[in-house]
This record gives sequence, structure tokens and C-alpha cells, in this order.
Amino acid sequence: MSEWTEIVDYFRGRSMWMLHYCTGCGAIELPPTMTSRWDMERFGITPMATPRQADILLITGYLAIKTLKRVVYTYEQMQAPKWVLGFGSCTINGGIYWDSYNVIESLDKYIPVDIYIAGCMPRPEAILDAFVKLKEMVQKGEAKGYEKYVKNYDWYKANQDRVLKRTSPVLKEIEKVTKIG
Amino acid sequence: MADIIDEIKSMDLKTSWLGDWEFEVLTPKDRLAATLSYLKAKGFKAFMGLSCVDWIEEGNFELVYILQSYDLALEAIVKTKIPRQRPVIESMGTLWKLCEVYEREMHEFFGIEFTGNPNLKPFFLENWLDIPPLRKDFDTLAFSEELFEFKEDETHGIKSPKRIE
Amino acid sequence: MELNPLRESNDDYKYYELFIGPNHPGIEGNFSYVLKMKGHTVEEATPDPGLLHRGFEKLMERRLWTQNLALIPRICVPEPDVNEVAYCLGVEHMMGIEVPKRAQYIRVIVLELARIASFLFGISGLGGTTGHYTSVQWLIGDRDYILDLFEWLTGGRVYHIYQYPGGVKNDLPDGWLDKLSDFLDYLEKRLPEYDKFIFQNPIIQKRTVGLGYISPEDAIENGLTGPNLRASGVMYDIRKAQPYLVYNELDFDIPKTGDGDAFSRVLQRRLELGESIKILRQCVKQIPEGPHKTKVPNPFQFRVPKGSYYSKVESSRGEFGYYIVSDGDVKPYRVYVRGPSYSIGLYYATKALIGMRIEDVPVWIHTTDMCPPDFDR
Repeated sequence: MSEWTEIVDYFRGRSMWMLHYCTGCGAIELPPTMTSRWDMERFGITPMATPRQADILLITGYLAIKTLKRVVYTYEQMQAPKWVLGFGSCTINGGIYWDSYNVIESLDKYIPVDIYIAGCMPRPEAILDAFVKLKEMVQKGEAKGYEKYVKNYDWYKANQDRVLKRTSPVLKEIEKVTKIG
Repeated sequence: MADIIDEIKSMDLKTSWLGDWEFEVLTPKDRLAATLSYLKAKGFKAFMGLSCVDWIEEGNFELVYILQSYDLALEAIVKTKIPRQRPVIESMGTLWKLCEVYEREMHEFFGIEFTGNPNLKPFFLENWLDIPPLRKDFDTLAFSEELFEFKEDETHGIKSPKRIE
Repeated sequence: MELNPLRESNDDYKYYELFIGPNHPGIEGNFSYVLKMKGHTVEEATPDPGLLHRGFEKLMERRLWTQNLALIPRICVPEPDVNEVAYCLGVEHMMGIEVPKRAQYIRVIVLELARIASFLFGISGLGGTTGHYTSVQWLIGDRDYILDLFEWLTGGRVYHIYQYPGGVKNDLPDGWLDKLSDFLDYLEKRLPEYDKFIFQNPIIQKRTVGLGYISPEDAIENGLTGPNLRASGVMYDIRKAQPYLVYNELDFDIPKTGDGDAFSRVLQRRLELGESIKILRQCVKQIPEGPHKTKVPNPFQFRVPKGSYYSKVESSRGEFGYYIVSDGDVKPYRVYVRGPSYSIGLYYATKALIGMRIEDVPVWIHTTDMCPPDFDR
């Protein structure tokens, strides 16, 4: 059984399809990566329109609260095995929008992330480097973020509901009208 | 070009040049519709934007309407003040239908009521239960730390330098 | 025009609701329309913005005047330099700072290069939605040469953070202007190939000619600016009517296409690209020697006097405006960003999409070249 898994993982790593979803400002470096200068199709990666037939979800940058809801739907619609790449420093700690009321801070709390790409904005060579590392991880059988999601489903769901399904104001009553900061 | 300033001054409204191609007009709240339709008839037909400034110490919201005239190559900035405790003003949708979209955004971010605007539903924010976020008494850092539960030293044990407040 | 000969009328079709976006290759950026459809015709279109909202206007009130320069390029992602220049023009006017001539020429060069890069990106969007994928490969490939020039000049490909109140951060490196001239020679040789390949292509013409006609009066009433307005016949360009920087010393025309339909709007961008090349060649010849910045107070004592000002720049999408209010402190009191795509993306689309066929909706969206980050902010 394990030989079959190794063979399947070998081929799986060479044919991963990326979901064509531009969630944030990092998406401006995706057309150069997809076209002829830094062709990513030679690695077997090509954009795909529907989540049902895609393997990689590339979160290109920050996530607004409204987009987080759609990204969670999209992630749950993808079939296993599936991998998530956090693109840019906004997925690690909020980036340059660390004090914004509409941008989430740490992506790993809501969906499991396999690889982070640092930078603001990462170069196309950095994206290709991340794809090659992902390929090696898949071929060794290491990238198992989707299994982590299934095992810890309640924890992820509790974090998502805390942000998306609020029922009361976050900041309590302000006593007198004062200017902040 | 200077005639337009003299004409507005003769209507007993305060006006002055802000730059080479723009001037501001300060009008009280009840004369706003008359001022805007006067300027529209004079050639300022293009509606460029609507915004609001929160003067919290005075207790006022200042609405700013930006109009542009393509024939005169001038920009007119019309400002009016409304009280902060009960911010209500009539909608300018009868002059420019485009203005109603900007008013919807101002209602969401400042809490201003525009009477006569048919659509003041949530626009940019979803499931928002706090006070309107662009007001000066809304603390965005406290909101972010409370909701997203992210403290500074959680970044894999690396302490970041002190931020400028 | 009904293509299906088996159906006599549209009455046999069903009603349904369709989401275009946010996860859709036919929409530009992260933005969505909720369409009520009957068969393949749109009956009602409602925009659903806010998916890219970061709260820039609130964040700008919490940072120093010069710290904001690192934040605001992210408001317009394909063309970030217009934000920096518009903000700097506003701050310099309120403080009374004089910018040296060489710095003004460098700013014009940077703005025009960003305009060419944005036009190339915009026209490739049309190629992507009509299935003309070779034009996507060529245009994005040529745009990369511009990003290489920017990387040599400022250190970053996409976000430059190069402007500063009083001038620019560093002078042009040796040999940069020669490389720029070589790039302009290369681009001028490519433009006839694009014309034959894209603009004289019968399929692109069949899909865009006659689509989405806007009359001049409607264009003014609905708040359109930029190439969309000029394609309808209103020849207004801020660089000519209210010149800023050194545009009054440069010689260029505003091309007239004037048909008001989708093909005209894309053709207007292509012709203005030619004019930008002319402007750049003049700048390379005319740029004077001299300092590239003036001395300004250090960031912790950088105070702007009380007052307000509305500064604007002609970007590739239209009038990009910054309304700045200061109360004399080290941080801005209020900054309002007027994005050029607001009126067309959130208001005019609700009128223009009615009656359109579903396959024309992405083509219409891409020919208006709207950019969701600049109205979501």
C-alpha cells in the first residue's frame, strides 16, 4: 500500500492546479508568474477556475473579513488533498495593516497553511521557489494541512465563528465622547 | 474666472481660493441645496465626490461636496456643517443620482441620516455591530486586538520594535 | 439579436440569480456583482464591494505625515505612483515647499512609465476575457521591462515608495536614461504588431464594437473621468487643462476616437500610450541638471499648517484625487481618497449592464478598466 502512495505522491507533485482567485494586492505578481517570462506551467502548475478541480489555494495577501467568509467556503469546496500557500507578510502577522478593523491578523487560525512566502511583495522567483518546495514536500508525503483541518475542525470553526458570526459589539459602551490617538 | 467668486460673495456666502484651480464655498445647512443647484447651473455639472470630516471637539460633522466644471476648468468644494449628536440632512439625489451611492457610504462610515435616499443598506461592511468606524471616538487598534486576539510576541517568539503611537 | 433559431422569444427562459465574482476569472480584482438573469439576459445588477476594504482613511490618521508614504501606494495596485505624487503635491502646496526642476522631470518620467505599464495591463485584460491569450503573454511580457527599470531606480518592482515631499529620494543612476531610450525604441517597434494583432482582429472587433455606448452628456452626468470620458467625446485632460509639474513645457496631443463604445475606449488607451512615449522622449532630452530634493523638517517635526486642499493627478483610469485636512499636528486629521473607478463600478454599471448578454459582461467590465482597490480603499 505504501508503494502505491509513494508513486501517486510522485505524480501528484508534478501536476498541481492552482485556483485562480485574486484575494488581495499580491495578485498583481501572478500574471508575470503565469506568462512567458517566469513560466510556471513548466512545473505542471496552471490556473483553474473552479475550486472543485483545484489543488492549491493561493491566498495572495491580506484578507478582509468579508473575503474570509468566501475563502472558507472555497476551501471547504476543494477536494482533498489540497494545499494552502500564504503569500506575503500579511498572512503571517497582519503586515502593514496590523491595526486595521477589517483585516485579519494570522491566517493560520482560520485555515491551515502549509507554506508561507515572505515579502511585500514577493518576487515571481520567490513564488516559484515556494512551488518547488511544495512539490518536494508533497512527494515526501509531508504536506498534510488538510488532515489537520479535519482533526481540529472544532478549533478552526470556533475561530471562524468568533470573527464571522458576531452577535454583540466588540468594543463595549463608550462613556464620553473623546478623541482617540 | 474671478467673476464666479464675486457672484458667490454677492449671495452672502463665504468663499475663497484654495489653489490655482479650486475654491471653497462655506454654506449653512439649509442653503446647501440652493448652492449646489446654483453651481450646477453655472457649469459645475460633474459630481466628483462626497466626504465627511469629524470635528469632534466642536461637535460637528463637516460634509464636503466636490464638483468640477469642464468648461471653466475649475473645481468647487462646497462645505457645510451639521451637528454631531443628531446628524440629519436631506439627500442631494434630486440633483445627481450618483450622489446617493456616496451618501450610502457616508451613512455606513459616519452614521449620517440622509432623508429621501431610498437605499441606505450596508455596503462595504458586513455584520457590523459597533459604532460607525470612521468617527474619531472609534479605536481601531483596540478593536483589532480584541477581535483577532493577536498579541505582538506571538510572531514565533520574535519581539518587534516599539511602534510609534 | 437572438442567436438560437429554435426559440422565438425570450419568454421561454427562466429567472435565476447569478454571482459574477469574487472567485471568477472574468472579473477584475476581488469584486462581485449579483445579477438577476432571465435566460442569458441581465435584468438587474447589484454591486457587492467591500471585499478589499482595509480602512485606509482611518489608518492614515494614526501615522505620521511621512509614514503614510509607505502605506498609500497600496491603494491602486496596478499604478501605485499616482498615489504618492498626489499626496506629495497636496502636502507641498499646504506647506509652501518648492520642488526643484530636475525632481519635477523625474516625477513626470515615473508617472508616464507607470501609465504605460497600466495601459499594457489593462489591454491584456481584454485579451483574457475574449480568449485571445497570446496578447496576454506578449503584453505582460513587455510590461516586465518597465518593472525592471523601476527596480533599478527605486529598489522595488511593484511598490516604489520613491516620492517624498520636496522631491524624490535618490537621483537617477548612471545609464538609466539610456536604458529607458532603448526600451522606448523597442516598444515603438512592437506597437504596429499589436495593432495588427489585436485592434484589427475581426473577432475582437465583433465583440466590442457597438457594445455599451455612452453619450457625452451621460458620461458627464455619471461621473466618468479619464480615457472613458475622452472616448465619448469630452476632450478633458487634467494635464492640459490644469497643468501640474512640468506638463506645460511638454508637447503632446489628446487623441480623439469619439465613438463612445467599448472598442473606442480600448483604442483610446492604445493611442494615449503612443502619446506617453512622445512625452518620455522629450523628458529624456530636456531634463536639466540640479538637485533632486529640497530640505524639509525631519519626520518627527514635520507639521503641516492648518487648512485643507484637494490635489489631483491624471492617472490611467481618470482623476485620482486626495482631499487632505490638517489641524497643525504631526499626523493628518483626515485624508479622503477619490478613486476614479467609484462612479463607474458602483453606480454606472447598475444602469449599463441591464439588457446585456452574459458573455458581454466581463468584456464590458474589462474595457472600462475599473480597479476595485481604489474604491474599496
